[in-house]
Amino acid sequence: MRILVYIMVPLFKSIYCRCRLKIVWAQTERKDPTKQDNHNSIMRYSYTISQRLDIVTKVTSKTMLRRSIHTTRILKNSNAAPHIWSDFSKRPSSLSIQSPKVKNYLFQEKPYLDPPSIKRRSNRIKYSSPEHMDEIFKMSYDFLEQRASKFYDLVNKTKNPSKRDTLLTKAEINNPEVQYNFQFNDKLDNIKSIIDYDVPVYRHLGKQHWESYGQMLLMQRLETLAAIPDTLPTLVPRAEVNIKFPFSTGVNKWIEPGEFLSSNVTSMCPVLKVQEYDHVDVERQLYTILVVNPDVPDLNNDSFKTALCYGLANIKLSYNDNLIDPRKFNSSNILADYLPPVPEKNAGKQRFVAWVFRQPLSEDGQNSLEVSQEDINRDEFDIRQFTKKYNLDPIGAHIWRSEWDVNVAVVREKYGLPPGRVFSRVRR
Amino acid sequence: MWNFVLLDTCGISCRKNVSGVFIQVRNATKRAAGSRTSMKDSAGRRLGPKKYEGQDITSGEIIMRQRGTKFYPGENVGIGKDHTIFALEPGVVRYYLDPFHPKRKFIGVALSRDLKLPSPHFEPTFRRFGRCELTNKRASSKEESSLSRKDYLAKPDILKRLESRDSKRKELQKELAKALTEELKLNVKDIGLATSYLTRVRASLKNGFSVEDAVFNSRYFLKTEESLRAKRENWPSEKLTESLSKIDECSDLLNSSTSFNNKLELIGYISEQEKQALKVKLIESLEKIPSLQTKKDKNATKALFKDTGNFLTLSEEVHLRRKYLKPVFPETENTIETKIGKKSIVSRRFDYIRNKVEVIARSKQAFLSKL
Repeated sequence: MRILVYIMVPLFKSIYCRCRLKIVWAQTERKDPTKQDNHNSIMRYSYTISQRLDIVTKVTSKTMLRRSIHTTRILKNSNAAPHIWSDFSKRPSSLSIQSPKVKNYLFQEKPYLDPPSIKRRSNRIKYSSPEHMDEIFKMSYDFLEQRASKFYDLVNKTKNPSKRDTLLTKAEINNPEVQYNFQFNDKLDNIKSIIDYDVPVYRHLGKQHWESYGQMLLMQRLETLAAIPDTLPTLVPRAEVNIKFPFSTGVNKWIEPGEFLSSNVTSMCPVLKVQEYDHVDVERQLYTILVVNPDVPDLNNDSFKTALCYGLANIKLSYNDNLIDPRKFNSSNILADYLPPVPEKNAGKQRFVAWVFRQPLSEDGQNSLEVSQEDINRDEFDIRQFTKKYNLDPIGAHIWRSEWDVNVAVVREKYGLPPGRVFSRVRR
Repeated sequence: MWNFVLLDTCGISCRKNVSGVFIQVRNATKRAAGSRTSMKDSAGRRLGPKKYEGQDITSGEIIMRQRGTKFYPGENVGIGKDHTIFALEPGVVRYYLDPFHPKRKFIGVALSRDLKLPSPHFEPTFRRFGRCELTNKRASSKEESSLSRKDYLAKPDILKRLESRDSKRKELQKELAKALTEELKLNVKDIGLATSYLTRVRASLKNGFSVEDAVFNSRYFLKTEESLRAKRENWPSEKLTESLSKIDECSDLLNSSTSFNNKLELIGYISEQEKQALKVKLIESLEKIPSLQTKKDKNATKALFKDTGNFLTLSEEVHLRRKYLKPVFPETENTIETKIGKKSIVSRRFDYIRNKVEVIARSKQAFLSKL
């Protein structure tokens, strides 16, 4: 008779995630239903574990099941392998778990500890990890650590920086501490001591995380709202761009691409966060930021023209310190002062597209752009021509939308702008 | 005899059928049965193109009536529920193929005769604005003040909430001014500026900004407001620099002499090191109290937690309170009673190891609230 074995993976409650765990169906047979101890269960697990996993197994039968793990075998004791993952003399400290409680539990320095991720004491008591999990974890950890040390050996031999990055990523990607740090901490407002984007493995994980949702969302919004091709022909996204308006209302919120924002929110300049994931020359690389509005009514041609809303140049960023707010630049960096969105009545919805460019690296070390004021015609800005002239490489973008609201008049007055035109309600 | 009759009535057939075979003739007396599907044909639906390639068209005009999508709607045209294709913009009708959809035929409207369809994929789209400016003052002001029904209905509620927020902010500013002058006894020159700065800092902290960011954001807000005002009112540059330095001065003074505690109340300045030292000291003194057994111990511990909000974060404070002021004490021999008496407090709970319900009697000393 078969007994159903439900395997529940308490992903959020248990601190450890399953990364490459494959559990092949466990089959159990009951020989003698009267005697409790005589249950012979055959369970076949095939594990390729990179991390420790806690599985709660619930057995529908009233009797307890004894489990035996089929693939247990003793590896050769390779005492030559160095404990590379526990050595922090050469590796950055962000590769380690910060909380001593969690770290102790992960490496079971004291036996039979309760998982600290389960908050309730009663639930902690109820919980028991699967049998032999500790041995399996130890075995796989040693195996992966040994393999990681080989990658570190290779790193020392290679000089190509991008190859070094991939090797360093490979060496640390299966480290349970790294995975824990990345999954259970804030990826956008990262704390450098936990998620340090200077470290290649965190950049790799960050890029994966961004590509899984944020990048797709951004590209969808840019395409459906026709920011591409109305502003620039296309975008190959390489850097994650996020926008916040902290000065106007004091609200601490990252904006979703394509969101409608009121004129009050956008009445003061935005703050951009540009997260690079590729290998870039951080010391030399400079960035340009342009926010354009391609929906300004052009009555002479009965069409629309593009206006430059905000322009910054020669901004220096690093992997961790990449929030572009007025602390990061001075008046020499400003191509165009911030002019807030002030859509006119009945002019429709206006798109505001923020573009982030990498500036070209010149060999003589003069990387900063010298932009002549003639090229910045704010009212009729040709962003295609501008990027072509200065050889700018678009790496990221963001978009928000604005519409006329009652507060527009107030913002106009604040910035000393003339009162807005009013257009006919009906389109002819 | 029969043969004669036949020969008489139909002479020709008689000659053909020389053999003299008998053919019976019956006249129609019953209506003929038709095909099952006949009599159902409808009049033509007048399908087909109503406008041809290159014809001028205005918006709303029908270009094609069709069954199903023989032609797909392309640029600047719409499609009806019966797949009628109609123009959305005035222009020139174009029948075209799109390389992105090789199996489809499209109908579109080019906005001018020299534009080709499909429009180039990587070029900016050519759009028509289509509205005119209202130059008549009365008409334009009327149009500008008109609101959508949704906005119109929401307006009074929004205004009411705005007012209540404003009054709350004013109240808060009053409180802050009182705290600055009476409790902290600071010599602030411009109390209005100081309170507006502090309210801004407080809001930023409440919204989850770090202290550093909150301070910068508030100062930047005030400075930008001031410089915009200067631009608006054409201030001389000295006046602007003076007022900006005033803001700097005021905010520096407030940053160095005040801070907000974890309940966002204004207190005197405590530096990060001081906070750490106070925290260490608090934990030490909490450790000294062995275990809460009397009301006196409880009050002593509570007294230690009196001003902890000033130097602990809210989560730290909660953690320490939970640790040192447990509502139910651990089960030791002193607090568990073997016999259930009148004064003992009984609780039941499930023992997951033994799969049984346990009945536990505890004395009043086991509960913080009953000490």
